[in-house]
Order: sequence, then structure tokens, then C-alpha cells
Amino acid sequence: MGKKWLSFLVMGILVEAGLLGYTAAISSAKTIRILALAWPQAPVEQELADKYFTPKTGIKVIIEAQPYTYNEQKARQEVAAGSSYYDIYHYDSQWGGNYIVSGALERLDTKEYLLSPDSTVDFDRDFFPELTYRSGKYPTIGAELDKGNFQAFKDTAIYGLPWSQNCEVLFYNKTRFKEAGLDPESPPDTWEEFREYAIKLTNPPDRYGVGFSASPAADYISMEFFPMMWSWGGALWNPYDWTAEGYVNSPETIAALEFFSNLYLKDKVVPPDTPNWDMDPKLSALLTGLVAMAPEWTPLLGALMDDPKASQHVGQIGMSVMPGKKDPATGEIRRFHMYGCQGTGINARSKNKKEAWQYLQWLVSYDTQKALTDNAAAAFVSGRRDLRYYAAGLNRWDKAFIDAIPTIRDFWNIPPYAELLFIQNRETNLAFMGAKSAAEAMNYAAKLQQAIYDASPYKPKG
Amino acid sequence: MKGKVGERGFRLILYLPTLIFLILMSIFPLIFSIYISFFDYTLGQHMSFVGFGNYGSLLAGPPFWSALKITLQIAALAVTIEIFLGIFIAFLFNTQTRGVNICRMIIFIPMMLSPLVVGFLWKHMFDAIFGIINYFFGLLGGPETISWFTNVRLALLAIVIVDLWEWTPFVALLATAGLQAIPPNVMETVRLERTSLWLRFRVLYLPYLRFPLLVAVLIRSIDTLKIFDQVYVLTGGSPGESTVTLSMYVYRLGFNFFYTGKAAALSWLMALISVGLITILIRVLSQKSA
Repeated sequence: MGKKWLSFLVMGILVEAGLLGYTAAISSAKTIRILALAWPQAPVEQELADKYFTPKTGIKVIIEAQPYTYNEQKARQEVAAGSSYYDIYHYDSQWGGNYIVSGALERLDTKEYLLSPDSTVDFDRDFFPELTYRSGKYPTIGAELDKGNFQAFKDTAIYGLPWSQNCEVLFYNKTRFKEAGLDPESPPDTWEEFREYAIKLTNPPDRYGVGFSASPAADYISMEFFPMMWSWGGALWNPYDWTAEGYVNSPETIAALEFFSNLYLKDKVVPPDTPNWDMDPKLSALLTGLVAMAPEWTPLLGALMDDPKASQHVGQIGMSVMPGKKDPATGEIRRFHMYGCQGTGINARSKNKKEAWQYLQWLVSYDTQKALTDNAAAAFVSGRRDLRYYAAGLNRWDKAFIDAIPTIRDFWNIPPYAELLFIQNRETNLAFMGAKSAAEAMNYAAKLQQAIYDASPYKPKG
Repeated sequence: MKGKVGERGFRLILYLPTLIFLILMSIFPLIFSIYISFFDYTLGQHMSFVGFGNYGSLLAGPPFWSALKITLQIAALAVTIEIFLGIFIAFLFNTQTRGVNICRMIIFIPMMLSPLVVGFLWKHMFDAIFGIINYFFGLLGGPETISWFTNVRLALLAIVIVDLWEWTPFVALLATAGLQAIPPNVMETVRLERTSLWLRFRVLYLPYLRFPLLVAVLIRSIDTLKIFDQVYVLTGGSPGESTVTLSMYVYRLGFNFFYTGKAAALSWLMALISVGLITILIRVLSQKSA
């Protein structure tokens, strides 16, 4: 019996020593971990880090790319646990507010980081503000940024540097255009033209004019609807006093939603399952020619459309800015594009903040950003001013994105965004399917969203 | 005596890793979830004690009752049909014909698949344009583009169909075990006496099927009350809220909105409802058996 105990004890000590030794070995080389979004640029960034950053600094970089849906869940669980496992978080713009109020992100406009004399990054000098202010600074007011009033946020706290820049533009199939007797070099300029073209391009069951991700999950249907809503002159809310009534259910928003819904209900120019479509069916539909037009994120489709392994219409897909709506007052065409940019910031609980900052400085440097842009597999556009037009000269989808920048808009980045977005998605989807009228849906959305604004401790006082 | 204590101690040491694992992975989370259900807690933010506030606000809100209704509808429909279909399949394959074992094996494949895989498989099969279900409907003269997931009734029906496909074999398996417990001489006697089908079923088969079917009803009821995977993949709760089950609602509260306190409270409400329903079921079915 005594021998049994002794052997057990010896085994336990050996295992423990082995584990301790292994842990010591792997932690003696500094390693930073990044919780990244599973975008095309993540593996390219890993390659560049292995090739250039690690040999130069001795800091190992591990980029863990998580699918979009689970990335926020993972990050928030880490934050709630007070974890220092990850050193850097990537985040979508709407998540930013929550991350910041939860204390997840390190403030960067301090002497340790951007204001350090050794810093190689100057936020205002290096990055163009139209996109980077929304993802990097908090709190901001989208309506002021829309007007170009960046000065109002010059001293606003900075929590993130730009990681990924993109927006939705209109992709269309030139072959289908030709088949329908439409000029393949003249995509629709207005929403009315868009509808006319869609009707001509529709010949069910295997030819439809338009594809939308109209599912109420994630942010899908709202991403399709918001550019339409804005071009009608509609709005989601009053960002100054957090009011929904009169904005999300304004006559303009309702009219835009009626137009959007009628594409499915009356004109029947979208496939029948569209109200349940997320991004994958829409991508497949465009790449196989089932639909002739679809709004889509520039790098996502850009990277696939000329890849023969993914696309059945290589070289035949064109892109343009989103259609617009004529402003009755000025006669100008009002068009908008959906913001799709993400930021990157340091975990406030990281034990390797110095190394994480070193990495971020390297990541946003001219050379690294250019290397990412030059690699087509990364489907990347830089937020740097000095590279703003560089990508546009390399490929068509980045040119479409650069052209769209002045008209890119975003929605909430405030802490209760998730519930607000859920309501918006659900009601828009119900109107799209015809289960409710556009007015009923948006009136109900206004009521529910106002209750959320009013209950939020972050609502502006007075 | 000293030897026995040493032996017992040694056995305890061997149990210890499993015990620690159970405590960390099951018991502690269970207790912590009860604790957190009494707090207004959004993940990563400040916690404030609200007592039964979370439970109250859930019970007072229409979404809870809607999710409960939908969950019970799916459970009642799926379990009822699975029992009848399972018995039918068990009888169908209760022969000594050549090849029956291979057929049984094929029939049982669905229940060995992951529910998520089953969900994705059927999502494609139900596709309005390219789906094989609509193709066969078209061949039989019906409409060719039924949009299963944009119609409230059809979406619910689709979920039930998928559940039937996956779990009827489980009921058939249990029913088969019941049938195979019937002594061969009894079967022979009944066959020679040429009794009616219904009499034969009631007097001969039902006594042997009673217990396996009771187990099937209980297990399938528990499973369908917490159905999640197929709903998440097929509809995500839409159209509107028409397929939001209790589990989907918990997921939404906990992982979409990060209202961790409320999600924990709803989980416990679900557990109480399930225990209550199953207790009633056991009593009713046991009485009928007696």
C-alpha cells in the first residue's frame, strides 16, 4: 500500500514539473494573442507578422480568427472574466461602445501610446477621418461625422486604430444585363432605375433581378435597407437626444421600406427565400448568376468574383456606387453606402501592452499597410491617408469603395445597440415579407426602441 | 483497519480528478447560474441585485409566453407523430426477411448525426428554388416554389419534419426492443388463433411496448422541450418570432444581448417547466399502464 502511494506521488510531481517547465518555456519568448475577425486579411496579416514583425522584435504573434457571429461573444466573455489571454481585440464598429463601457479597451491617446515621443503613429495625421473616427474614437455622433465635422471630435478619446475598411457597393452581372437588353456599362443610377432593371432581369425560377440578405439575423436585412432609407431622407434616430419617434418611423423611412418590400411582394424580383437569406446564399446567387444585382461588401465579393474556383462568371461582374434617390428640394441624387469598418485595440487587462502597442504601430505603418494592400488575397484597403487612393489603382472593387467614402454612413455604436438592431431587423423583415405594413412595422419599432433608449443609463441627460 | 482506510483513501484519490471536473464543469456553473439569475447583469458590466426581478419581468413579457407556446406546439406535434410512426416502423421491420437488418441500420442513421448537420442538410433540401423537397412536390403536381421559411405555419412544420426525420428511428429502436421481447411461442399461438389485428395489438403487443414507449415519450419530450440546433440553423427564430423556442430565447438574451442574468433566470424557468411537465407525464402514463 505504501509503495502505491509513493509511486502515485512521484508520478504527480513529474507531471507537475513537466507542465511547469513547458509553461516557462513557451512564456519566455514574448507572445501576443489577437482575437481577430475571420476576414481574408487575417491569414495574410499572420504571414506578414511571422515574416517581418517577429524576426525584428522577437515577439511571437498568434492571430486567432473567429467567425463574426461568435467573435463578439468570445470577446465579451473574456472581458467579463477579466482575462488577459488576448492582448489585442478586433471589433466591429457597433460593438465599440460596449467594449469601451465594459473597460475592454485601453485608451490610446495617452503618454504610453499615441502621445509618447516614441510613437510612430499620429492618429489625425496618418488616417483619413471619414471612416477611422467612427471605429477609433468614442463617443462620437454619427450625424456630425456625416457632415464632415471632424473638428468636433478632435479631442475625443481614442480606443482603436483602423483595422479593416470597406463598405457595400452594388455588384451586377454584365452578361445578365446584355441578355436582358441592358447596357452592361450602365448600372442603375437611381432606385427607380434599379427597380426597372430588376424587373427586366427577372425570369423565374432561375433568373432574378436582385439578391438581398434579408434575414433578420445578425445585421443582415438592416445593412441592405439602411442605404435605401438614407437616400429617401429617412433616419434611424436622433443621436443628440436618443429619440426614435419621428425618425425611424418618419414618412421618408416608411416610404423607403415600402419600396424595399415591394421588390419582394409585388415586383417579385428577388428569389422567394430571400427573407431567410444571410450572406452566403446571396454571394452564391450572384456568383452563379441566379441574381443579376446585389449590394455586397467590397472586399468579400471582390476577392471571390474573379476566382474561377468560386465564381461562374469570372470577369463578368461589374460594380458601381449604390443607386440613389433624387432629392425633391435640390434635384441632386442622394446616395449612401453602408459602413463596414473595424477597429483594433489593446485589451485593457493585457499583460503585454507594450508589445501589443509595438505590434499595432507595425500593423498600421506604411510598409505593412501597403504589403496588405498588394496581396489580393487580403482583400484589404488601408485607412492611411497616404494610401487612400493606392488600392483604387489596383483593382475595381477598391476603386468603388474609395469613390463611396464621402457617402458612407453607419448606425448605432452605443451600448444597447444589439437590442435596437434586433428590433430593427425583425420589424424590417416582417414588413419585407408582408406580415406587417411598413408603417405598422416602423411605428412598433419606434415604440420599442424608445423604451430601450429611455432605460439606458448612457442616454444623454437633458 | 488501517489497510481498509488506506484502500478507501486511495480509491478516493482516483475519483478526485473526475469529481473536480464535475464540480468545476457542472455543479459550480449550476449554482452560479442560480446566483446570477437574481442579478441585473449585462456581461462585462456592473451587477445589481434584483431578487426575483428577472423572473418577474420574463413572466410578465409576451415573448416568454410566445416562446413557451411554440415550444409546446413543436413538442406535442413531434412526439405524438414520432410515437405512431416509430411503432409502425418497428412493426414493418419486425420480420426475419433477408436484408431487414441492413434496412434497420439505414433507418437508424439519422439519429446518429449531429443535429446541426441535420439542420444544414434540411435547410438545403427545403430551399425554395433548388431544394429537393419542392422538386418532388412539383413532380406530384404541387407548387414548385414553396417558400418554407417565410411562411409562419410552414416554418414550424419544417422544424417538426426535421425532428421527425432525425428522431423517429430512436422511437422505432425502442419499440423494436419491446417487440423482440415477446416470446416466440406466444407469437406462434396468436398467429394460429387468427385474431383480429387490433385485438392482437392490444392484448399481445401493447403490454410489451408499454415500457419502451413510456421511455420514448419521456426522453423525446425532454429533448423537444429544449430544441435548439435545428431551429437555429433552419429559421433562426423567424419569420418574425414564429419559431422562437424557449432555448432560442435564452440564446438571444444571453448571447445576442448579453443579458446574462435574465438568460440564467429563463434557463431555470425552462428547467422548472420541463420538470413539471415530465412529472405530470410520468404520472399520467404510469396510471394508464396500471
